[in-house]
Amino acid sequence: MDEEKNTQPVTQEVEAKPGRSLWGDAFHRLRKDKFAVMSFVIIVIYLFVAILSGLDWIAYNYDKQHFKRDKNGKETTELDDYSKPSLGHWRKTDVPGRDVYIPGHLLGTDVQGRDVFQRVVQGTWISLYVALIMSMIYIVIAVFLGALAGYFGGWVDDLIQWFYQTTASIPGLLLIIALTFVLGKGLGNVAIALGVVGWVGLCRLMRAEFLKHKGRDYVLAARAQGAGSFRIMFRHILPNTFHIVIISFSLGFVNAIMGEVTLTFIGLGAKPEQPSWGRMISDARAELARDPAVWWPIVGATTGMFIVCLAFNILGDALRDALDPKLKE
Amino acid sequence: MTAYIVRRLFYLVPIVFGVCLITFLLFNVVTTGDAIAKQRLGQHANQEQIDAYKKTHGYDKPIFVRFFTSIYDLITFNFGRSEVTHQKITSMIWDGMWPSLSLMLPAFIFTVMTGITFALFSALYRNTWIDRTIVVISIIGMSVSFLAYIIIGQYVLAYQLKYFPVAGYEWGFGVFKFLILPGLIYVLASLGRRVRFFRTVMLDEINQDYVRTARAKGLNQNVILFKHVLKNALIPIITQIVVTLPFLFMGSLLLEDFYGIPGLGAMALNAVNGNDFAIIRALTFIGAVMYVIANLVGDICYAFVDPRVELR
Amino acid sequence: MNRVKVLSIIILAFTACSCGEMSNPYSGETGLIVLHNYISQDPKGFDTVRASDVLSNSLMGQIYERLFQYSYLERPYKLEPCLADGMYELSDDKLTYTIRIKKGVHYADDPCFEATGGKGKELVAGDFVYAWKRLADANNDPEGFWIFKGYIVGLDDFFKDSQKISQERGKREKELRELYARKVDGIQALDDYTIQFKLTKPYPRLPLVLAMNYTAPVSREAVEYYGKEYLNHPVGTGPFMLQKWDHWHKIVMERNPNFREEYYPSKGEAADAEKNKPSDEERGLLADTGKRLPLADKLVYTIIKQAQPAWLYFLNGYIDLAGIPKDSWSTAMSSLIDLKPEMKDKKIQLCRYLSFSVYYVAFNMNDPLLGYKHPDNAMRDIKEKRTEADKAEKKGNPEKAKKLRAEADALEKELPFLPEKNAKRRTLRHAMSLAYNRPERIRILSNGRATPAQGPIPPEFNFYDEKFKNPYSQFDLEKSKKLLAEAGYPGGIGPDGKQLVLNYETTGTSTTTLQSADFFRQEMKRIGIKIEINQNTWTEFQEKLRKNLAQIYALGWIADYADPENFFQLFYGPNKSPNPNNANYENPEFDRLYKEMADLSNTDPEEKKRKWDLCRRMEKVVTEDAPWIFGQNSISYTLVHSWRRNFKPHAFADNVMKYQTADPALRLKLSREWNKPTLWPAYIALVLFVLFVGMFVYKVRKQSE
Repeated sequence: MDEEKNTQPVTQEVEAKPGRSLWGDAFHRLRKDKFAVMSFVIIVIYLFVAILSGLDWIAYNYDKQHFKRDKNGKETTELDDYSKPSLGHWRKTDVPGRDVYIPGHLLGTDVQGRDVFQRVVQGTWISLYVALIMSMIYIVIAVFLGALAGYFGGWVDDLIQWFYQTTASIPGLLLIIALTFVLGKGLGNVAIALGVVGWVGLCRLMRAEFLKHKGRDYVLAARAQGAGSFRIMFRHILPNTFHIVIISFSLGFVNAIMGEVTLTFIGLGAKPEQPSWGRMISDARAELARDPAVWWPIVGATTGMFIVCLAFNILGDALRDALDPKLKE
Repeated sequence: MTAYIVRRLFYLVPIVFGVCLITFLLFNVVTTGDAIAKQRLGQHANQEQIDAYKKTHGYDKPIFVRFFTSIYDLITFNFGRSEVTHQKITSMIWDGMWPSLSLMLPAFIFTVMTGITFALFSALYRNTWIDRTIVVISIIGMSVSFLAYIIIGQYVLAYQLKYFPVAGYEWGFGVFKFLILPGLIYVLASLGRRVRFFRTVMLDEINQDYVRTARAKGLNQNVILFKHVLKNALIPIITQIVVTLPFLFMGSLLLEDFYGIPGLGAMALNAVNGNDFAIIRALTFIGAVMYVIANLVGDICYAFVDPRVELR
Repeated sequence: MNRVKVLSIIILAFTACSCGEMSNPYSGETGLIVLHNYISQDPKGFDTVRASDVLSNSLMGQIYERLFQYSYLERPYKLEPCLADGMYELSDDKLTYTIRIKKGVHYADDPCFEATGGKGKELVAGDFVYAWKRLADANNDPEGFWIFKGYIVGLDDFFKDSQKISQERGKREKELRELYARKVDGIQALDDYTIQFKLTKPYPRLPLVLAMNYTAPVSREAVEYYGKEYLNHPVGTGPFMLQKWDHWHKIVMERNPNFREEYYPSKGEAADAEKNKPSDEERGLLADTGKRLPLADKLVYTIIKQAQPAWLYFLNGYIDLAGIPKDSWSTAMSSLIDLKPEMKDKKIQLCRYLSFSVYYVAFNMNDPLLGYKHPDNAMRDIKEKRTEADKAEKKGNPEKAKKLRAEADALEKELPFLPEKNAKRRTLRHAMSLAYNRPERIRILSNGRATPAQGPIPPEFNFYDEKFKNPYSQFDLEKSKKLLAEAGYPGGIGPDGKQLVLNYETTGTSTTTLQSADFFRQEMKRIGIKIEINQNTWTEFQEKLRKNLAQIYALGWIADYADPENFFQLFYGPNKSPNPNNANYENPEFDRLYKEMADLSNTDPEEKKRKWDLCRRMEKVVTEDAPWIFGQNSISYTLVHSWRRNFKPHAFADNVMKYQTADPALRLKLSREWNKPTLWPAYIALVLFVLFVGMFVYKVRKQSE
């Protein structure tokens, strides 16, 4: 989403050490990094929560309106809008000794009396959904084109280079906006647009990798055995360059989550009923001005987002360090 | 050198052509001649009028002819009038460019300066607590949504503490007080990325053999740092800065919207909300052309600074 | 040593800043009387033919003048002459209006008046005729031709001919010149100071229409001088003239030195003991009686897109008046009619008034699930389709003819079931109307600033009947569920066993619009109907209306003038979309009543009585057919600072700035007082920052040693 297109991981070629594969080596190094392990755990939890809420197994009441309660703990017809975060409390009723427990909401309720915490949890699923679609698209495009350009060279390379330079020169956000004019609005289309715009950096790296690997012995050996070009590209070279994809993926995830927020604010992303983090943050601008300030939706959504993005950023960094021998000491 | 520049200039042609092609394809899928005609002629237009409009504006011509006229219009910067406000697009962009620049340029320069300073420290004291603090703060800064920065910044610093105007703009020097807060937020939000990028570049440089040799020879740390590392690391940094410059022209959609700065970012957002394709198209094209030119300038700078680059 | 110096400079600079007003958005105020207003959008420009929105009107009203204007202070709303010299003369057959205009009125100075060296020329009757021809010229994309359409002799032909103008350069100019030179019988300048209207049928609302900006005189010199740029260079006879327009930032108007002699009115509204309302004299609105207008020297309109910053501008005293944004309600009001003590301390005044608007949810009557089609109209449609099919066949388009025939056949097949289907769909609409939770909506989304709407006419408007209660305007879930079952959807499940899903189109992407849409979804969810919300920008929404793609959508209507016809036209069959009847409602009975009502005047007692009866009958028909869910009628709240004087809310007038004035010294004093920033957090932050940097430097030093 941001202007930088050059922040893609700078990687160097990795030689597998005898006795320990590239991945084994990286894994070993990652395990020593406490932050990275923690981030990994957080990401696993996040994925778990996202999938469960996507299946409506948890936080399934995110769309339920809650009502204010009267003295006896019964629901009235008035919506419980903007109730403060609380764990609930006991309330005395008319009948002595028969106090009722009024359940509270961990992160309060929103304008329509819906539980903000459950909405934040649902937001994990939406962000995962956007990020997965986007990653799927841009990885496929980038790997395919990068591989073709790097492996074949010549006019194929020229054409693909022309294509990605053209794409890179169009301002990303405007291109996304233009694409959503064509595709229509909604999260799915926004994710597709993000993917269509975001492939350039990875493509460049893949091209360089393929260029390097195509002269390697194992490639020459495979070719000597009569393997076809595509077989060599995707069965032989790709697995050896896949760590770049992994790094790019973990950093791209953050871009997808942030992109959803911006585009929803512009009015292209989530529908009003979808509890995405972008929706919650966009609505917060007015809600903060209330007296007393309604801070819980923005704090909830921002925190949720922050934790996930932080974890991905740290893990991405750690992965890059682990897979990039030049920076290790 | 001249030959190199000329060659690079020729190299721009296919890319500008590509940009024209993509914008043309996108906006001709979105808007048919009929739709534009209806928008321009109002609701009461009949088919005859629409046909007449299409004829005079060339929508009845074959697609290739239209493509080449559109290229001609774009490269002569003839964008026509906005479909919503009926204003001339070139003058709209000219008016909107200055507020965007006045916000983005100082903020960007400040970010780069601070970013380089932090990155230097970080690289110099690699793996000490200094490095770790800087890295952790940058990563934390990068993980907060830009929108959250804006909303919370505006709420706390302008609403609650009243340090800055909540929103607004002024032509002339009075603009200063309006730009501090959005500028500050821009710096906060983008500093982390910059620091991380600069740090990587400098680490690359510090790990070069010549630095090790110099260190082994017992050269002064500061001399190594400023005379060699910084100088060499500046090359990729300058390239990246030059490439970022066109984005400063385009402004920031969110910042300008929230702080009421009448720049190109706010204009783009209004165009999105008003379905003003003509403006989006013009902005897309200008942004792309500026990017391409900046790239060229970046490459030429690179060639000047770095003797290792062959001027093939 | 050096470092200490730098630090002290920083601290000094910081304290120096804090003494001044860091948050004041204006600089260099002079002794002029300036009215600071705010608008939320960049206007569409100052061309009178496109004065269709409230915002454009509120700006053009200061620059242009019309034949008539509304009395600023008197209530009920009353017309008075503005550029006209006295009111109009009406012939006995009610078809000829003769209006004299004031002599010696001059346009503001502008370089376009080349003959006089930039001096504004005198206003003549021909300028009106020219302006109205422009309004009827399709080449200008006029948005206000509807005010004359069908009423003025010869003008409709003019409009049609203007559509035939060639688009070719050279030829186009010549044809346009010929067109404008043509005489239109219905609007004529008898001499330089007399205008005559000839009508095709009685048009009792003509004087009201002549108070609208569409009809303001425009000088031919200006239009020809500026051409397409005229929208940026308006030239009028009004009290102010456009000085500067920074797009999306600020509009500045200054006093027009050529403005004709006009004085502040001497007659105001009397006290109303029943409503506990003091008279205008007691409220100080008559203090400036007899002073020459305009009272202020300069108008500044700051453009602030978001409601919250605008509200803060107001609280800080940088704009003189503001509405209360939804989410700031609790910071301003302690009850529905009372300001909070903090506001009262600032001597802020509250103006609470009805804005004559209705907010509604419309159903598309062409929709097969929700719609309504009277059998007579269905028969007419079948006939039309068949003749069109014949035409298409003759033109050699057999496919289109085939398609049209098939449509006609389908309609015909459906004809016998239409009454039953209509009844069921009507019950469905009733059920939805009953599930529409007006009290909660008003409480949550409007802070109580509205009343539930009963019918098309808003409270206290002309011909409003307070006894009328719409049986479907209450919130009754039980009854709603019952009706839903009767309509064939028990629990929201249709006869085919499928969930009933309806599409709701938003009219914009602002938070309030989206919240309201989501609220509607929840309301319908409670009776079992599933609503899919589609987000649109305003333009996309208009496009959907035009293409007949919208199913359900929420809109509002604000009265243009004080006649119930303005609301009932929204249901008149021939006004179907793209005209204002965008629900596409068509009922022969209603149309008959409307046609009769539209030609009756408000003044004649006999006609007035008849009109009242007709209004009641139309109200009944419309509420029973329920093409809309009648939502709410808003109550407007405006807060005014103590230094702004002579502000009085007006539902129709837009040329109000000339009556208002301000006390700049008081504004300066108060806003300085209110804008002292809280400084301690900044100092703490500064100290922390210095400590951090110091420690950092110290550690770095140590490390490098």
